[in-house]
Amino acid sequence: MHKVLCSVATRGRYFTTLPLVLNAIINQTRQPDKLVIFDDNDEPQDMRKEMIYAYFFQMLDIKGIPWEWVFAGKKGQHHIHQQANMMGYDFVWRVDDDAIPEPEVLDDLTYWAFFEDDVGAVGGSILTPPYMPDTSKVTGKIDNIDNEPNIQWGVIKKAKEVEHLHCSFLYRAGVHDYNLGLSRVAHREETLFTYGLHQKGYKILAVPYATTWHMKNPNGGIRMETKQELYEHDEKIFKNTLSCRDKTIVVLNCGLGDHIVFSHVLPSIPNAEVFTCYPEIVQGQSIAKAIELFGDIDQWNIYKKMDQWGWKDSLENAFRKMYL
Amino acid sequence: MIIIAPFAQTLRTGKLNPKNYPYWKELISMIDEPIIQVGVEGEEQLVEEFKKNLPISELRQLIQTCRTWVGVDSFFQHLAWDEGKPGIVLWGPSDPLIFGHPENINLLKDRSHLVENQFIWWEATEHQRERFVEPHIILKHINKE
Repeated sequence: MHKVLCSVATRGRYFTTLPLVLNAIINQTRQPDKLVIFDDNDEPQDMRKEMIYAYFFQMLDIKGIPWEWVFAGKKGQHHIHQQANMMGYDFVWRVDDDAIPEPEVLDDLTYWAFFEDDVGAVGGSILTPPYMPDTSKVTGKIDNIDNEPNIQWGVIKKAKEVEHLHCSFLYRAGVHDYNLGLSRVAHREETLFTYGLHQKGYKILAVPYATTWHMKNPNGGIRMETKQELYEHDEKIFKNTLSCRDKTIVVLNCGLGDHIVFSHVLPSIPNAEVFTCYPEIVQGQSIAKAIELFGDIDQWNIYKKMDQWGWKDSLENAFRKMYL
Repeated sequence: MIIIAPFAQTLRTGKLNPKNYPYWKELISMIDEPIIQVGVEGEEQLVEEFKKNLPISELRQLIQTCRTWVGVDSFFQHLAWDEGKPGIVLWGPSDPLIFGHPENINLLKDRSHLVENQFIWWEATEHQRERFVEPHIILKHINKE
């Protein structure tokens, strides 16, 4: 059976929507295998002293749901989600701290996620009353992202394959990295992440019945930062990533010998856009350019990947796994 | 002529790279054949002819002229492999199954000497002489090549 981690990133909502979210998670008809609350508050508190939270923690213990309260690094929710992504679970159900899932949401999402081996992420409706757009004709394609509402914003009446999701979804863990080059506001992080899964060949599904109520809260929230330049920075990374969507981005931030080994893999990579340290071995643009375009290049660090994969095979095959 | 590529990349900490073979002088004294050392400025000169900082293209040409080559786990073993010229690689803490090429003779004393995490910075690993094979074992392979 697949193991599911439930991950909640929270900031500034100890006494508003977070308790509602935790209550909803505790009362799911399908229990997660673990709950982790990533506390990104500027002034974190020991919530065991608060009566409601003390009850929550006891309920989790009684129901046999392991839980952990982690004080996060205040670098933005993408860092938090990447941490959850690499915690060794098969799937991660990420729930926003102002999004209240109905009791059967996790059951519904796992039904679709476990149904086939090539499902990357599954999301249901995220309804923000009174805004209820008709999303029945939404394509969910990345090309239309600026021209149509997100499919999750309306009532989803039948399952549909899309290219990206927006909020509170279940995803296959350890397959694709969050872009850690985004700013603290992590604008577009969900879109970049789910679209990245799509690009890797996994299905992204918007499914019916799994309704979450988004109690949009002007106070608090992981994106309480309002500096316009941070959003512009992230939007630039988003647009740059999309502009390369028909290419395989290759970033060789590694040694000379690694470049030589990679050169044997390159001919098999379709439409490669290469960024390189040693253009005399593998031609391409500079690493500085890659950082400028995509913000974070650690997602292409072959040594980090081999470490994550517990790699025992050859370096050449590691490059093949990464890029083919 | 034999090429030797004795040293892995210099570490930023200034510590001895744990992939460097410790018995080069003993090995060189046993070889009865012209030897050319390749490497970069700052590395210890072990033989009379030391070609430093050669451009990659010249290094490729030189590889084609040698009878065989002996090196450690460094970029040179990959370059020679790329040139289709098999040689001998002297392994210590790094894993030839990951970083080596089966076309070469990969001399590893014992897999128990490999470091557990192969993907860390080598600065964190201490150099240990006992990880490496003895020179006479290498000489046998040089003479067979």
